[in-house]
Amino acid sequence: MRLTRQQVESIRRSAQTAFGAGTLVKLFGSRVDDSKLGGDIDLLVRPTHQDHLLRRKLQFLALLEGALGERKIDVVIEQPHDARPIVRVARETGVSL
Amino acid sequence: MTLETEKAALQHALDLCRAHEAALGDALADIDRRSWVAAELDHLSKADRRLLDQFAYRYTRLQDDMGQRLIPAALRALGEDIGPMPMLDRLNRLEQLRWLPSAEEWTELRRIRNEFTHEYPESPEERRERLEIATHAARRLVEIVGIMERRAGEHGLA
Repeated sequence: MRLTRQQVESIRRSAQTAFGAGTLVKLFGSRVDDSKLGGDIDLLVRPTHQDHLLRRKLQFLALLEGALGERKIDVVIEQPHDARPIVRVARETGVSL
Repeated sequence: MTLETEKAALQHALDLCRAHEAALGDALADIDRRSWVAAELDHLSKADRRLLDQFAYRYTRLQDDMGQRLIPAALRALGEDIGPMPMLDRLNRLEQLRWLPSAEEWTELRRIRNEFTHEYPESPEERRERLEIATHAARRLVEIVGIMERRAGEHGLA
């Protein structure tokens, strides 16, 4: 996984603030692969709070921008019984933060 | 550059933004004419899809042209040396000069804009919320263009 411990901590903390305590975050995509360089940060979020998810996502992105600087971060929010292919792939290949 | 060149660049940027603003206003009026239910956003009619596409296109173009053209042109016309200035500094400077209500709000509007180009398909509920947030953001953007236009007028720059 190509994130520093500090970055992981910032992502976890921001996720709890925006989506509630107990929110789970997984890193997936190219950042999971140690042999690659650079790339977007792809995150799968399983939120504790289920309301106003886009507002929460925007808050999450704002917190991340403050903590990690401006960079390309893609956030996929997992919902109950989510059958989207991207969610399945992220769940299967992602690393819990 | 002479002041005349800078004024012309600012006027050109304002003209561009006004054109987006007019088309965005039309789209917003049509969007307001009906209610949008989450489930329907999965099965849009051709006309509705075109309308939402037009809205998204004009909103992103307006935001992009403001960020890439209008904001730098305004600062140059005000005599600011913006060459090495990162975007956040430009925004803060414009806020200081009272051309922009809030640099923080601008970055929030930019994040909302980025949601339009998101590569993953969202759930219908996420889409409905996005439309609601985006129409609100689009109105704010139109207000901000209005503020910048007024400031340009007050400074004899437009």
